Amino acid sequence: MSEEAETPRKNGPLRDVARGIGVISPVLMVYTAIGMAYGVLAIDSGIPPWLAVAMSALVYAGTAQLVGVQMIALSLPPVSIIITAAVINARFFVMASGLVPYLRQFSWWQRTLYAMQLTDATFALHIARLPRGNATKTEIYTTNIVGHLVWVGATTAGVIVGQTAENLDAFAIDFAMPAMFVGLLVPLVRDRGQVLVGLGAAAATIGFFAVGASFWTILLATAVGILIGLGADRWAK
Amino acid sequence: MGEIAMLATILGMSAVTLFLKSAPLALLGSRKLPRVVEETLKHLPVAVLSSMVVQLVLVKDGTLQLDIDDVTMWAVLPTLAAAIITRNLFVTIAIGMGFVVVVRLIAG
Repeated sequence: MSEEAETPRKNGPLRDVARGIGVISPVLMVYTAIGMAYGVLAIDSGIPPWLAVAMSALVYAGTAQLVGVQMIALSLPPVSIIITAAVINARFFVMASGLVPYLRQFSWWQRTLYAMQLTDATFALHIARLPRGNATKTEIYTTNIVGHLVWVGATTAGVIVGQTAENLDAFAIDFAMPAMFVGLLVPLVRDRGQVLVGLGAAAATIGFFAVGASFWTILLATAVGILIGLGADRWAK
Repeated sequence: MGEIAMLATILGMSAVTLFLKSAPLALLGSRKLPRVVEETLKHLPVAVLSSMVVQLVLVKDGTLQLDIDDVTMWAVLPTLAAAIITRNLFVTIAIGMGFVVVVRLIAG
């Protein structure tokens, strides 16, 4: 591992586990809230509890799960549900591509294992942390495993409380994800060019939705943001 | 939909999702990428997360909803301020959600 050659710091597996938990801990309260809300919605949609929990374990992608259970409740054709999940989750292909330069030290199966637990939040946490090169594999996998376990655990809790947990909006659960993403995004903005990237992608998102691009918007808007960034790089030179 | 059909649907969702998450890392994970690609990837995180924030706040049920009475839309501002000032994820989430809770309590 390359990190041993870099900054001298206290090592040891337990320390790395603690650091891994520390990195993801703010995200865990959001996972708990959204995971529970998803569990409640799944039960409301008539999904058997064990399948609701299985979806959290196997799919592990919040938005696709929330849309998926609603489509299952409507008895829409499975193929259309699977295609919808693929379109919603296409962003993970983009995010995983962004992580490629930083996981080069990992073996093939380690990268695949990593990818299985990739989420929006772990992507943002790791893309902020890995370029600095001082995160060990133990820390990285701890972050991923703890996030996944809490997501499945929160779903289980939501499934158990079920319909008794009405009106979760009162606790601002609908703002948990936006708040988390703002908090994950801001530290990634390192220069003025990237402010333009963010504003450009945000404006493009509104524009593409206004003309009805729907689920594809995130990919199109990301492309616009990247082009602005490349333009800004060139301008700076 | 029967339980077996639901399970098949979930397994299908899982398969496409895992493919999308793992394909780039599994296929080109140890290769050195061309510089052009690396420069492109540098801007990817900010672009994709900015787009997600806008979607989470302004898009409801698949359509754009610019509702001036929507608390969550305004809550982005104090949340953004908290993130810029503190650079702390925990504080940012707490201030963002706290703002929404307080406004909803006041507005009743």
